[in-house]
Amino acid sequence: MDVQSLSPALDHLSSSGIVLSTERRVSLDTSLTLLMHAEKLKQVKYWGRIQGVAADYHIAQGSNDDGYATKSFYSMDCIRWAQLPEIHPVLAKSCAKIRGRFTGNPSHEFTVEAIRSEETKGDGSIVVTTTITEEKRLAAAVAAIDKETRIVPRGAYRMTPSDVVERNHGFGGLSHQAAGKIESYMHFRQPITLLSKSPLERARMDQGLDFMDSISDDIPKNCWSIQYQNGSKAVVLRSLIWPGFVFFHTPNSPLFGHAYVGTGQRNNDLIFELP
Amino acid sequence: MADFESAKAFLLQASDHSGLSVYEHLSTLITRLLDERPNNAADVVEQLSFQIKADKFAPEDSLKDQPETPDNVLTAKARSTLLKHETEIPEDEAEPEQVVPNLLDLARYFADADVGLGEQEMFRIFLALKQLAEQQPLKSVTFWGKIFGTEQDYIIAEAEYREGEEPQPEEEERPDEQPETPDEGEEDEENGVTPLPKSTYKPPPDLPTEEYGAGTNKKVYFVCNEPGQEWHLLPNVKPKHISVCRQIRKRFTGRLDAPVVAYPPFAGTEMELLRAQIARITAGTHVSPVGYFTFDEEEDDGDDEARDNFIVDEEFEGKSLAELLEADLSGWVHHAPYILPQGRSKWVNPNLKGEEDELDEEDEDEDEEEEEEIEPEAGPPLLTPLQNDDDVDGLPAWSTRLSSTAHPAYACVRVSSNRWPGAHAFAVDRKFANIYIGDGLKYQAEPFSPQLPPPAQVEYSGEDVAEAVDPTRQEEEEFEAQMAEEEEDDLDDEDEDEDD
Repeated sequence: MDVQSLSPALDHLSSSGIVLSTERRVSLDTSLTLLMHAEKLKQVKYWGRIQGVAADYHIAQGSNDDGYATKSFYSMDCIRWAQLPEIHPVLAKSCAKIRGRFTGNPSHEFTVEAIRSEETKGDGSIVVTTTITEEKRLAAAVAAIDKETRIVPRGAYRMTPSDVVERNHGFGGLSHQAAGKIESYMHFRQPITLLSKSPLERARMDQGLDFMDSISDDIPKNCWSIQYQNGSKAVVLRSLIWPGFVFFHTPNSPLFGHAYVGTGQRNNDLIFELP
Repeated sequence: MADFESAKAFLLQASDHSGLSVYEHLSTLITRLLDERPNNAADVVEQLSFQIKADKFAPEDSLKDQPETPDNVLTAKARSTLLKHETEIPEDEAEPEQVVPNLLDLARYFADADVGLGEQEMFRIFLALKQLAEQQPLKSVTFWGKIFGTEQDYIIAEAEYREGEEPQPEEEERPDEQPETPDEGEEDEENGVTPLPKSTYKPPPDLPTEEYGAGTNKKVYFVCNEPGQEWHLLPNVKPKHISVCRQIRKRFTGRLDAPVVAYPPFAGTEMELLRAQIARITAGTHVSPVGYFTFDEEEDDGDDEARDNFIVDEEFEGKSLAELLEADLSGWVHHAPYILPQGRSKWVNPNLKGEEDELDEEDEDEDEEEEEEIEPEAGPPLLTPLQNDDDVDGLPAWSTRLSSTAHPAYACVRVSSNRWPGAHAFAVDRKFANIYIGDGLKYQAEPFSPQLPPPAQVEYSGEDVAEAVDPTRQEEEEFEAQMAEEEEDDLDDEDEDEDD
């Protein structure tokens, strides 16, 4: 949610249980403007909140251009913000193994046991324990949620001839019919599944628009719940893999946005839960 | 010159897809650039080119199905039934007891604590509750919460009927007395075929459902997908549904008649599953500040069994924020009865049969006594403080928050369940409320592993079925030789007969 358009976004997200109290909105409006200035960012978005047992983490993301790169910040009170550390892919893998809730204390330490099988000594494997602070786990969780859920409507971004991804200022919103189809939404990230498409499938795509993965290829099928809401004025997509992630788009208008309010845990049991 | 001609001919070629030629496109582009004269024209030239193409773009399926009445009109029509303005101003003297609470006031406290559905939706729900109170003979109705489905969401209202207007208890279904379908085996026997073996499995007897007004069915629940739509009454919850519901993990679709495909099998549709989950969530998460409810001392005769009703303590003046925020949660109590493992709030002995059966089967009483006596299941009594709740995954079962840090004096306290994510309660002064906004799934610390089906039946090993050893070639030859000999003998006999 852009800080400038927090209220219209909340109008569409609130029916999915995402609300911000007046106090939080007032604090965000002020503190994120200051953060944008202090960090010399072009835009800052409110990303959502991760609920800990003793306290919640509010997350904001800023970027300097339209590309994929972002900087993430967290705050316990929506006033003072601290930058989240960059997470190495190896550490991110260990963080994904941590079970249980966030405690609400950024310096809380989790211990992760990893089995190193390549070092064969006697029984064949060595258990290595690493300690990870909650702050690092938080950074990894935000990155993981972004990777699997940060989505945009097809056409909202485009690839220029010089391979730069930028906001498509000509985007006027999806049509009412197209907005209700899962194929009309793409992952805003470096493409992964797109590369495995056959040349025949790629021949039908528009090079300027279909340069990202469509969410219709996500596994398992039906891992997104798509609904017309608010008297069909908006389309709401909810991720079932990351319960708490909600995306909305108002058809025939360029407005779209998303927020995450949840415990920061991936739902690995989805396959049993699908009706 | 020839080069120029061929180049121009190429540029004039129309594209197969859009029918546009480069020549035409460039001339439109240059015309538009000169018309509009944008700043930094060289930087926006791609965008402008894209824009021109987009303007011309004709969608492939220009013939679209236009529904007779668009969805938004249907929703608006449903919502318009809610909008009725009361012209009569209520008189001061006769203050009728309000059936619907001031939901907007309660929603404001929840919104301050970052919980809710937004002002507009809350107001619509409030109107829908009012409509429900007009349609049904209700004593009180409150907003229970919202459960998200994959296709539609459920809005749930919790209600109590006025005295004397309760629905009559339905006749208990007796699956035992169902006329047995004529066995196919009998027919087979007549035809001379051995009948197939019959299953000896008898399902465990269903425990009696608690009647309206008691335990898990203390209140009734109405559900709709969108405020303004018709409210559906959910059936009373049955113990077998609760016990199966605890073993499965299913998301709701939003259709009450959707089948529930799960193992162990769930006997019912999503309607029953929803009702069972509501019962579990209510039992686990409906809490109030200690002292708000109290046991009726006049009726209380010291017997534990009498303690299943409580009344509002009129003298209760509210707990201070500090008491409600206490980390050990001693300021809050459960006011919904605990559901026992058997799926009821009041324990019944599953081995005891119905009264009618007992009369018929007095002779069998001696046999029954020999059966093992079952230890009655017991749960915590009503109004037990939250501090006695079991931990969730090593962490406390409830999280407490103060709604405002800017001015704590006007804040309220929110408690959120960690066992049922999405269940919240707030309290301030004499006010408190419970709400559930979530997926209807319990928190699970460990990965879910569904119950495995029972092992396959052991193969029949009866002695009357013996396998014969395959004959060797030698034995076959011997057999053939023997047969040949016998045939010869037969022929000889026949010859002899003919001779006679």
